[in-house]
Amino acid sequence: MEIILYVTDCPERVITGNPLALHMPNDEDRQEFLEMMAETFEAHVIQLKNGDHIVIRKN
Amino acid sequence: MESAPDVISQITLIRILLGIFMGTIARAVTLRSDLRQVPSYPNGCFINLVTAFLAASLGAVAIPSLLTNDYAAVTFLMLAVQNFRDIRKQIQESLEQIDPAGFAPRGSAYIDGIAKTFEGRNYLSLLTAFGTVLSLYLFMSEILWLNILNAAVTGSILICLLVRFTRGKCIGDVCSIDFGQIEIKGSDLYVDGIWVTAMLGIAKRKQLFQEEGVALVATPKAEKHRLTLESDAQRMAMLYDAVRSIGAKELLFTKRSLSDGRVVIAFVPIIKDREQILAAVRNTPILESVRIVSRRR
Repeated sequence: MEIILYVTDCPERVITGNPLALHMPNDEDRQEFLEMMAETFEAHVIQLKNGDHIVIRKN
Repeated sequence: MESAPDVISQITLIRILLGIFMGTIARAVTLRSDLRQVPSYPNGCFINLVTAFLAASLGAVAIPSLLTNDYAAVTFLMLAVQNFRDIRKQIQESLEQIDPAGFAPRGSAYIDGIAKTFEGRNYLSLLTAFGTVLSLYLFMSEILWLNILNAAVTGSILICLLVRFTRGKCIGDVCSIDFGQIEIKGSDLYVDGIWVTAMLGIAKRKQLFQEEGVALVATPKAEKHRLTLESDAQRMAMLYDAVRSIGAKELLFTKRSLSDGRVVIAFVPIIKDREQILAAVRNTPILESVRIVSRRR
């Protein structure tokens, strides 16, 4: 299993490194973006308790 | 030294042909393309029938050959065994190659079971033909219809016995299967209170699963059946059989409850035929590699 992307609404949680972490405060934009990413990479999206999303792909 | 006659007698030929016929029939009655789509139709079925015909031919000529002091027949049987093993390997390789192309993978244990069954069916043809011809030689009648009757009765009994011996159990025999209640909390999916996955993080997918998803819960009938049911290979086989017959859009999950041994299978089907899904999972064979055989000591 591979983490492709980390998406958060809190800029403090955006740290450089692997995987790519994005700051997206607008919930509507974020949902649309995550849908597109999930479809493109045939990936799953997990929502954490703090509201952040992780896009993961099964190998 | 007396040599074998160049042309076999008519009654010997009839006995051999009856053996071959019953051996091929043995494969024909066990050949069915069900929801698992193995063997494929028409070419897969045709290949199996031809292989069964050849296996039956080897079994049918063994007794007449031995009676003429031709012990090479035994060597041919050894060659047949080697050939059947090669067929098993071929089937295994072929199924492994196409495995990633389906809705869900069968898994190596399921493929191994299918390949073994195919090999076993060739022995079924060979032994039926061998037993039928042996019976005809023991009976030693020159009357045609008596030979046909003998072959039909002996062949049918052998087919019944061998099919019964090689038949495995189904998942429905060791556990009860029913549809579970789907519940989505945040991005978590629960079925009958069992946590299944946290992969429903997008609103669109949550909605899709809520509206179209199905979830089956398998409960083992006895504690010992948990060993079978909770095996990864067996769960993979159940998921495969469920989605093979009715398709799956996406989101395929299996999960086991560690506390009570219940197993959940959840996915979004293409064809929403609940009865067919239930029947498919109940009829999933118990894999040989996870089967528990009790032995009294």
